[in-house]
Amino acid sequence: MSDRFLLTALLALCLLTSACSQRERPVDAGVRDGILLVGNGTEPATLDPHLAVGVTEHEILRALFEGLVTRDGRDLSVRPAVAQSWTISDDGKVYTFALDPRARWSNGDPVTASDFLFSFERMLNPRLGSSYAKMLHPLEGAAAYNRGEITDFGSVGVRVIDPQTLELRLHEPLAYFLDLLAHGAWYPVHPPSVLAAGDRYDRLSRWTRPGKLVGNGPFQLSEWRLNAVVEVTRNRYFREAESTRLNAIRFFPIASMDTEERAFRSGFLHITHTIPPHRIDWYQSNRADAIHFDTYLGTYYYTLNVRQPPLDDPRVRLALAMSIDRQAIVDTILRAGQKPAFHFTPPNTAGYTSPYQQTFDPEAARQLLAEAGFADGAGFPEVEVLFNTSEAHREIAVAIQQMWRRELGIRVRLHNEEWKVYLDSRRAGRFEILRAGWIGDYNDPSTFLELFTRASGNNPSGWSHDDYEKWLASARSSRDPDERKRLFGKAETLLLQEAPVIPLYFYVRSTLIDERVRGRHANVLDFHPWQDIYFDQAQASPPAVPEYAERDWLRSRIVAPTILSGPAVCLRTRGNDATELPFVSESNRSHLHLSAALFQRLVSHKSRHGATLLTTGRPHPNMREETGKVGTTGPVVRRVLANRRHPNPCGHAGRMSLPVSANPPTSLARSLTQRSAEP
Amino acid sequence: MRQLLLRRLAQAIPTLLVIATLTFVLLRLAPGGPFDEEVEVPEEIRAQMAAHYGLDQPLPLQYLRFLGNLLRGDLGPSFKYPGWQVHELIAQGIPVSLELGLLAMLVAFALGIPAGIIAALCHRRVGDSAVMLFALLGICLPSFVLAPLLLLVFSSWLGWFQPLGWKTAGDRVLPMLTLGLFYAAYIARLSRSGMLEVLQQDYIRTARAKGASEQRVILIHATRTALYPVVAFLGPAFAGVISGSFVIETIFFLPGLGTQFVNAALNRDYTMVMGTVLFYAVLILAFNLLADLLQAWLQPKTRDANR
Repeated sequence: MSDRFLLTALLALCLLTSACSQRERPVDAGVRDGILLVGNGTEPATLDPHLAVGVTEHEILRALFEGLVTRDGRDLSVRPAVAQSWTISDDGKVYTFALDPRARWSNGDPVTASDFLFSFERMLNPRLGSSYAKMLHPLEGAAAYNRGEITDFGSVGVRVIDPQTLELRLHEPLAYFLDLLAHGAWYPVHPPSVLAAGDRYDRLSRWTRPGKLVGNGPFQLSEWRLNAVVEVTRNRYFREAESTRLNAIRFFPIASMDTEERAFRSGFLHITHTIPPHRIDWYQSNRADAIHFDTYLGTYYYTLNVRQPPLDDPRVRLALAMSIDRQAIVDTILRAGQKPAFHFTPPNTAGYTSPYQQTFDPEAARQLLAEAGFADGAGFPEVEVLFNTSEAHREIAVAIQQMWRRELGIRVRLHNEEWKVYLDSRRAGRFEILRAGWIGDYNDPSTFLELFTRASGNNPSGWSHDDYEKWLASARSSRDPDERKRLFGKAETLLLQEAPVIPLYFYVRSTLIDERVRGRHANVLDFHPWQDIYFDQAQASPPAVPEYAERDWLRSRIVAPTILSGPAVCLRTRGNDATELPFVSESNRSHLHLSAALFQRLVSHKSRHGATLLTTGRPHPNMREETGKVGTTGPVVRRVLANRRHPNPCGHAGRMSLPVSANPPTSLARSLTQRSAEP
Repeated sequence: MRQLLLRRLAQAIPTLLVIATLTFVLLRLAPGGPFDEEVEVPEEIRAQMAAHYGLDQPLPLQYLRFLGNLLRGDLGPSFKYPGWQVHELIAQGIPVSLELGLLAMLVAFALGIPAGIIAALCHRRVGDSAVMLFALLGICLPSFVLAPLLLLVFSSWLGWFQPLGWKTAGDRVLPMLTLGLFYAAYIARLSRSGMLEVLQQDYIRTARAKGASEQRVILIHATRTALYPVVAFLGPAFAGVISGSFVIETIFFLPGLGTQFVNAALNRDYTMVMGTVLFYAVLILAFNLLADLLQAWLQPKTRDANR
């Protein structure tokens, strides 16, 4: 009875597991059907382009809407979108756009100039209360209308000349206006569908629901299940519909980066939002083609409350800035290719790099502190660093706390607050030293340097300077690129010398991207037009089964590697004397493969010692030349493989193994020992 | 029994009112508001947004208004998700949370009760120690440790289950185990102690003396009484499995209510927090009542007294 039960259970288990293992992975189905699967961080708060604020929302909005101009994904240059061409008046204040007659809404209606008028009015109307309305303030009268000081939109610089021609008037020339125009805040909305859902200024309107939302982007909304998925499908009315190569995109709001990484590894995602720092090493040595580090237009910094002594003394602030070893923070804590920041605007932002840098010079810092009356930190009051609760921020804060104690002899308290509490403290100026970060909205130094002007609203330090205001105002309206760079340089030099800000590092976006995804180019704004992306069908599918677990498990058992005479490489393992290649792991059920780094070492060994690696079956791309015959399999690997439902790995096609020998280690063995000794 | 039901229902109303009031006050005391974002919003826009949601009115008025809407069954719009009503958000999360919770309870009972009984029968022998050791482990291991462990073994190594999702029957296994094992461990301990106590009772000795088979003594006479503490635990346990799944929902990427509940608090989504808190409160009260009724029914004394 019990035997039969056991048998049935086993049979059921086998069926279950074989059913599971043969199921097509979503990424492979996606490549076949042209469906891109994207990890998108958090749930989008809204799909209304006039209410959206976050990166998450804009990733999706970019698929659903299109503004007058867009950017090229390769170099971020401005290129025509709904506007097929434009003219700029001689004084640089009036832009006239000729709309593309092919531009249509996803229901077939033409996109007209009055749609833009409707949209800009809605965005700026105080009743809607849009947080990003500020992006439209360069328009004449827009700021006043937005604040409710004037109520006649006719006096705002937007004019419909005819259905295909739109005129925008600025209150002063703005060198980067076209760049600004590519931002999502300038997307048009479809007036009939917004009005059909109720009051156009109602934040609670349901016009963004699937079936109701009408957009003009390359895709249209087809599904939105909260905390599960947002799906967009190809919009056949898009003006360049024939160039859109994907059929659909699914955005998954996977908040946990570990879950997202697991999803990627198991073939649920083509593109992730990020990658957990502790997995970087593994991907670098195993799927180096999948991991991407792209410089990002963003700066991580500390800002100092200049209203509070002793931080009201610029010498103290500069001393603090000069005693932080940014390189050490980048190398030992962040480890994803971030660049140490000694100036505020990221290098080469639209061709501009700060001429001045805060240096790492503890000796000079001590000198400055002594001049300010705190020689060796004596009498320096304990100050507090405030950051929003996160392990990553804490690690950096702890490092800086130690650097200041070591270099300057001053004591610092660390204080973390939950995000909204932190924002509240920041707004009220209840802090001494504050962690912050800033991501550029457009590719121009002003998006960073404007932060420290009086009008910015995002400068909690309390610092301001008349010269700084003056130079930035001139840079805003100047149309001479070199003159602008010179003015930005002067302003940034002043900012860094006065040091209300201590830049720490420039952001890097680290993502995992399926090796078959094409048409996605690295750029500093992380701006990737969805219509450019496609799949390389010919590219082999990446490893199907996660292999790191076994390898790590095996590595923990490796005692000492041994190089055999002739073709063999083997490792002695703990627990028994089986000799095998524990670092050889299975990547799918038909073959084994080595990590790229280990393979390199073996190949170099081979060239020096004439060793040959033996495999059969379909080799991993890295091993194409190394096919041969199968040997025997030792007990340790057999046990592992048996765990993975291979009852008899011996002689199974695709195993790689080598005969046993007791020859002494060679140089390769030493290098392998070092590797296995790595934590 | 009917009296009990009516009495408890009458008690529920002031309880809910106290919960609603406390939540309202605590929420407004928390620093930071729903419109605080990384990019500073100009003061006039902030005022507009506040006016849009009625946050510009005096607090007592806001409170009364909230209660009025609540009586009409209107939980209001979400602050974080413009265009979504709180009841819509809750309705989207319930099916997953409820299913996960029920499955986890199934695991908890199916594993917990037999394990507890076996432990009691092997009192102070190897079986007992083994079961209790596992139970202790089950209680001690938090789900954020257990879930990655299960994932490592059953998804990464064995490849039996997908690491995330909620589509196939297989997708349910790991989340329900993660959530259920804790309760299984708890129930095992409860049923063990219940059983141990019952086995000392006179009527068990009487049953044995009458010549009833050991099977009958254990399964019919003892188990029924031994499960009283388990039944009492039923209410809080059900409420727990349905609400306490934030970690599991995050790890397995499930679109449940737990995630929404926690995120609502972090986002200061006032209406959403009120909505979810009240929803859970009703759920807990209901399950507690259900457990009490079940217990009353199991106990002949109360059952007969109310007849």
